[in-house]
Amino acid sequence: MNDSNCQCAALQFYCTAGNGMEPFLIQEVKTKLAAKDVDHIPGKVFFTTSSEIKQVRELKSAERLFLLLKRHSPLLAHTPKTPSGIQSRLMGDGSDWTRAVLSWRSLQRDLMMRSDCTLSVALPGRKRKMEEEEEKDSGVEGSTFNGPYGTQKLGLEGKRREFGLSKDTSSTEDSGSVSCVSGDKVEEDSIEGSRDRKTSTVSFRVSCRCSGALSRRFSPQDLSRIIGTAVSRQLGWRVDLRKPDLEVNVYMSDDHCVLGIPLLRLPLANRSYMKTTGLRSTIAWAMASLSDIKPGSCVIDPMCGVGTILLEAAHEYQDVFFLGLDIDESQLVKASQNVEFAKFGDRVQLLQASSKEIPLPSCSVDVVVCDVPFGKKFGTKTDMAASLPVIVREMERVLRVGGTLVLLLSPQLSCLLKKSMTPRPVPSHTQGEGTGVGLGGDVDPSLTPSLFPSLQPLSYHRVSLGAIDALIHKYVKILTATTTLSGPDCIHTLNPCIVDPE
Amino acid sequence: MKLLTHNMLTSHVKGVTKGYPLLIKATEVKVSEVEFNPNFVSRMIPKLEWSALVQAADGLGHLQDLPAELVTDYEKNEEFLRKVHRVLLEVEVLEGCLQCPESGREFPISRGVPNMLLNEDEA
Repeated sequence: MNDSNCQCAALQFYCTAGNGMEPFLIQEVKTKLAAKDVDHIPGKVFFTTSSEIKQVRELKSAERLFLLLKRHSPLLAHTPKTPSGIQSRLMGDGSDWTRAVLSWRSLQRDLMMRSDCTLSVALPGRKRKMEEEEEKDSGVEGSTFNGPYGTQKLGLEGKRREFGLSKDTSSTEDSGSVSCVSGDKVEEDSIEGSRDRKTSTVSFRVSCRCSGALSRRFSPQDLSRIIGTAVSRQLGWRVDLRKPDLEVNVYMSDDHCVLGIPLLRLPLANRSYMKTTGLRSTIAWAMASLSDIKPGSCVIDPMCGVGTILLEAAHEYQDVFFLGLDIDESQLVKASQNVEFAKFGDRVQLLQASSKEIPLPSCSVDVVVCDVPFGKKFGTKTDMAASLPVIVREMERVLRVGGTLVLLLSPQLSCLLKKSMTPRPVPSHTQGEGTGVGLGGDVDPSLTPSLFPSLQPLSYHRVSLGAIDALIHKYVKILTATTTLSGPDCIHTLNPCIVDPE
Repeated sequence: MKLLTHNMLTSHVKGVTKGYPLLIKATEVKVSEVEFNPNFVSRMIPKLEWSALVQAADGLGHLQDLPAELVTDYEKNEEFLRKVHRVLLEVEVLEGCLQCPESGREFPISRGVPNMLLNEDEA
């Protein structure tokens, strides 16, 4: 790596996260970025890290990435509800702002040094110029490499692009205090030649989101104007609503006040390696992260669609074999294109098959991960509810003892599945369908055992998919009286089920 | 369909007890260069049914010098791992079919993807 020796000063960031994704993001920043001071409010995770920005931008469970400018306790607690009150509170002595713009600038340089064709960096006015630069340097990009004898060198291509980007090696420093910038590593990109680097001529725009009492007093536009005026008056920055150098995002509610500068134009959730998306990539990644995937694992998705979950997992975990099954040929065509686009043909294979009859031996797979269709695909919700037990039974069968099952379910299917796993007394209430009405007519006074005795629930997670919520269920397959190594569950076993000692 | 995938597939036709291994009848086979990853190969080996792999490779005419028996201590044996890598990942059946050894039912392979869907009466 060309600049992995850069020891960056610790910076404060925050990421937005979908509802329910905060715990995954918290875990991710701690694991991947050795983040400190990790904190969160609904929808946002704050953290401090000295990892390089190119690593920070690789976060998989986050929506957007921001540099933290400042964070307050709610404004109205201490401040009169006047524009000047708001201004003086948010501006302070201006040092937070000045410091932030210097960090931001240094991060922009670091981001520009890494050429990535589809994820452009933040500057709205500069996007076109930057894309031209990137295209010049990335003659080795993707699809031209897919001849029959084309080598698939995923990691190497990224490196090649980094070295290919032309760099002006004369190092320059910003004027003013450089406490957050590792000075001798700051390199000037050739496109920036004409830009004045003094902070006083930064152009900016404020975008506000507010809720609660403050929002009843001021509209978002009012607040943007109030803050913008204070910034240009106190710091001399220039307001530019059309093509600003940077944007200041302000979020104010009854409970929180957060100011930040977005670092990338596109959300992190937009993956450069996905051609056609199905499930939101952040959720797909979260499911993979729950699945206990290890080197040497065999992972299947019995209803893979366009392959989103498998591709997120393949990007994250090495030395793993992924098999995607789907009943629908048109989905498999797109999945195949996705696999080719991401260059994972050596690790991700596809199969046209039904999740109700998985053509694999019992106890042969380490992980089953699946976004279970919510009902539209199967005709009606009732159909899906009726098919679910058969589908889960197949998943249970192919899993080896100790293997992990992770499912994404609609709230109704989640409820249905939980009920079918809980031994319960059943006077008039067997497994319900979407409406909660009992299925069979039998009035059975005794306990109904779990339909899936060898699946032990481990955890549930509620996540938002935007308009609706969904539940992630995680199970482990355990050894039971009926799940012996050579019992009826394993009629097609070829190799003995290896109970993983780990 | 790569031979790594084939090694896992089994026929699920109703009533069949010995649906493995599926017989490969290939009409189009492709060999490509795939980046060699020794870790991946050595981790896949314990999951393989070795004789089925040898039989499949042989049937396609790509056995070359892959040994009939699994070599012990293969993790450090790069030469061996490369042979396995070639057979598992570089040989690909693009067109043809897979035949259930017991029922004779054929599952078509098209554009590299096997179609294992069963008809209603077979499930």
